[in-house]
Amino acid sequence: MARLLVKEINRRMEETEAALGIDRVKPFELYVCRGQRQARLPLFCPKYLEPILAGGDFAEARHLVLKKCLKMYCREFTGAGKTDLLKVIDPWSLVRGNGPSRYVDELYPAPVPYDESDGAFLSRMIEGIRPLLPTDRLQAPDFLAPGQVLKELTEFVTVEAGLGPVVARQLVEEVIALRNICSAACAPRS
Amino acid sequence: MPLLVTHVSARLSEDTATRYRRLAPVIIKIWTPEELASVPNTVPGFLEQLKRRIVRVCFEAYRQNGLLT
Repeated sequence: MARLLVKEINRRMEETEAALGIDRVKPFELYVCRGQRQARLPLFCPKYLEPILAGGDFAEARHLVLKKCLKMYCREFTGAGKTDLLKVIDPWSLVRGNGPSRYVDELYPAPVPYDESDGAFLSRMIEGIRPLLPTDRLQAPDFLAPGQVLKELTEFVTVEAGLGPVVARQLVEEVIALRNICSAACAPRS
Repeated sequence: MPLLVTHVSARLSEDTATRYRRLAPVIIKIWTPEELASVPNTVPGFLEQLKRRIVRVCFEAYRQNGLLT
């Protein structure tokens, strides 16, 4: 029942926000912004697992990721190519050819001593990391939606879950708030 | 990049399926502008930068009550 309710609330909210021009970055989507252009690259979605579940290997799943992301990237950044995308999502694939190609060449012959300067750098960097918590980012719980949509969703929950209208309304608002906390609003498009 | 990750207070257990585990929504920076402007072109240099990026990203998540490790 919870799955059904969340699915329907998400669907209606996506429709409503699309109509209003509100764009959100969903979990596991990489938000890339360059100048006035921006793209959302889906680095993970259940569809990518299909080759693995069918007995394939990760290379097939990675091919799907690249294909999907390249489509999204080129749509937003005109003239960009696969190399431009790889620089963002898989730079290792561009660099690995420049170094030792054998695994044994990567092994250290002796333990690497602790590097004081490295430790000091990491300590400074860690101290400087102060990201905003979701509650600080949003400043206030964001459970807003157009009145008509809230009304219809509340009725939907009332009918499907057999809840009273007050509890149903509360449930809808909670789901909307969670949905907004778990995503990030994109910058408005110019 | 928004992620849903294991909450710092989640109790990890084989008896609890991942989907019932307590999660935390976090936003991490895959690249900072400084990192993106100076991506090393050699394997040792790249791995050194990657190491620092991994540390940075893990702590970004941790400060938002999420565990990436």
